[in-house]
Amino acid sequence: MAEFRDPEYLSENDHPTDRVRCPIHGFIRYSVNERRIIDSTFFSRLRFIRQLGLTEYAYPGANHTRFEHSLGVMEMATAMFDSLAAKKGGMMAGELGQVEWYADEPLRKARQVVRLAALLHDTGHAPFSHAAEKVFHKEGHETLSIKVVTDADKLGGLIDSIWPVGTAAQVAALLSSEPLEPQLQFLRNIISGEIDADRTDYLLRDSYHCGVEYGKFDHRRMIGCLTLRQATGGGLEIAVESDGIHTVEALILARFQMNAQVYFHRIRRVYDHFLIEYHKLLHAEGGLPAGGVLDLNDVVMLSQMFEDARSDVDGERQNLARRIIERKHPRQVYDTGDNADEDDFLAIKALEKELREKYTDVYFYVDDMSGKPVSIHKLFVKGDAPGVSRRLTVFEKDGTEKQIGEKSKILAKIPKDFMCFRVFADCPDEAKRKEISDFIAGKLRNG
Amino acid sequence: MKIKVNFSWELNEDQAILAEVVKRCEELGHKPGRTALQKIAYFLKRQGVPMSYGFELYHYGPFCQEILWDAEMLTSLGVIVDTKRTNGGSRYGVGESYSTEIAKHSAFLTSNSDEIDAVVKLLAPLPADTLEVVATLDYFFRYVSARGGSGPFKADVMAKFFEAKSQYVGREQWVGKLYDRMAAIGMVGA
Repeated sequence: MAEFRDPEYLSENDHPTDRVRCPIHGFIRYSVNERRIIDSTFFSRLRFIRQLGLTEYAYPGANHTRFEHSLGVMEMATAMFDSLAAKKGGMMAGELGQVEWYADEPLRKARQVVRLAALLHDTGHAPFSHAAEKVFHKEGHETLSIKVVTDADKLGGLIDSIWPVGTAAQVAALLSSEPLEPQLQFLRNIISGEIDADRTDYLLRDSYHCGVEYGKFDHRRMIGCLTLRQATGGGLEIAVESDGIHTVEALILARFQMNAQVYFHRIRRVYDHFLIEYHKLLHAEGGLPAGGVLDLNDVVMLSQMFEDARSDVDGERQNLARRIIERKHPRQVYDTGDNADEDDFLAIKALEKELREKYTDVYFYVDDMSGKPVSIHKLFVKGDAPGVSRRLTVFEKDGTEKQIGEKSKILAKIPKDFMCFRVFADCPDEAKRKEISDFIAGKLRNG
Repeated sequence: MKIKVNFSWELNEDQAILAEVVKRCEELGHKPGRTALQKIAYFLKRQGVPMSYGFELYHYGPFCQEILWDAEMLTSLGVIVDTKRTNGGSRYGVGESYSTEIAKHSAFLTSNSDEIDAVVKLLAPLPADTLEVVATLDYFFRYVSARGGSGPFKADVMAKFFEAKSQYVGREQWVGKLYDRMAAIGMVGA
């Protein structure tokens, strides 16, 4: 079969006739059919969910939403798919064609499924994105996104009425973490993997809106260097040509620095905490508006907070609402830096008790990240225990293959995890804050 | 150097289940290692025990990085202890803080007790390579059966298994018997 050169479409209405401007990617194009999904209430809801919760309290430009991010992920996923198809279209068609649903039009169907999965991957997000997510979903937003995609009374019915029956199920399969046909695994990894469309878009977009440079990397070069290889367990896996190593390193470094500088910025962490506590109380007091998460968004919740903040009642919930609305947060008096470990966790938790006993008039918030680091990457590097890393194969110019962790010395130096603990004290007296800070430092220094 | 813990840390439900698994394994005379903990957690999730872990197919079968982190955290807190094997691998046992830390989750653990009991009794005695094989067979059974039909599944699952795990080529009979035993107790379709 000839290599796949130009995008092909399932129908006339799948041609990308519509477009919107995007500050990151220029124009984002979509079809008349896709516009029906974009205009649906389930997708439009993302216009009212900010991408980074209350990060704007630290970076005032960070008011962008899940709506534009989702469009951006669709654009990036498509660019990745097309780049792979231009090089390995025959191989892709051969593998995809083994799966019954894709057999008649493997590349056209797969391209559309990838675009929809990218577009809809965040539709289950709760208000304020990740900030208070655990109050709304035990298993994260992905489970709800899958329901939105598959339920007939949500988008499932519409998707299967526009595209071939089964499209919704195929989109959901890419969003799920359930086992997938090996032939389709590379499609899932375009949406969610080590060098995926989601990360590519949010690093660039969040950087742009925060006004920082940390998340920027040469994504066009990276996408141009993607390729495919036959996976050991059958199917295909995404690999990278040797010219693309530096862009992969840059993406992973960007991820580390964006976590350190933006996603775990101290101000944001305090307001994440307030949002969690506020929503917990609201939930416990039966104050959450009727309906499920899909009826909620930032605007609804902020309205509730404004109402609570202005209330004559002086309860904990109202106090939290006032803190959020009036941006009144405790000040940081200690942080471990970016490379905290379990011993730091134990030390900070032991200290927390002592602090509360010693300074009974001060409100403390200890950000312990629940003792769980954030994964920066899971790629194999030298020294890893066997079986606990993901593969990313590099194709050398002579056709030989290596794992990127064997090739890249930079990758080996970037921490695989990020963890940082902080102590905040609600204490307007600067001298006293200094005293607390010195007390903590002294305690931790002396063990 | 480990710092002495003098605070109360509220375990989450995932961590409570892992600690309970270690305890029940120990009661049966076994000290699970990392592989056993991974695969028991995988099958508990399969049995419907509510856990937030997501598993991906890695070199040694279904794997979840968060379980490793949680095991390390439980070890740091003294809820479980890790008595290293001579080859450096982990062997988990119940730690000093187990009773106090787990108490808050007793109702949750009781409500899932039968499933934990059944899975631990079945899997705790098995060596690591057997656990790797059964978890991987189960993983591929889910993949094959998800494509519809009522079976038979065994041939397709075995084919997928050996595509992914060529290191087991030559041991087809053993792997096939394991599959039959799983089918006999209803873990997978025949």
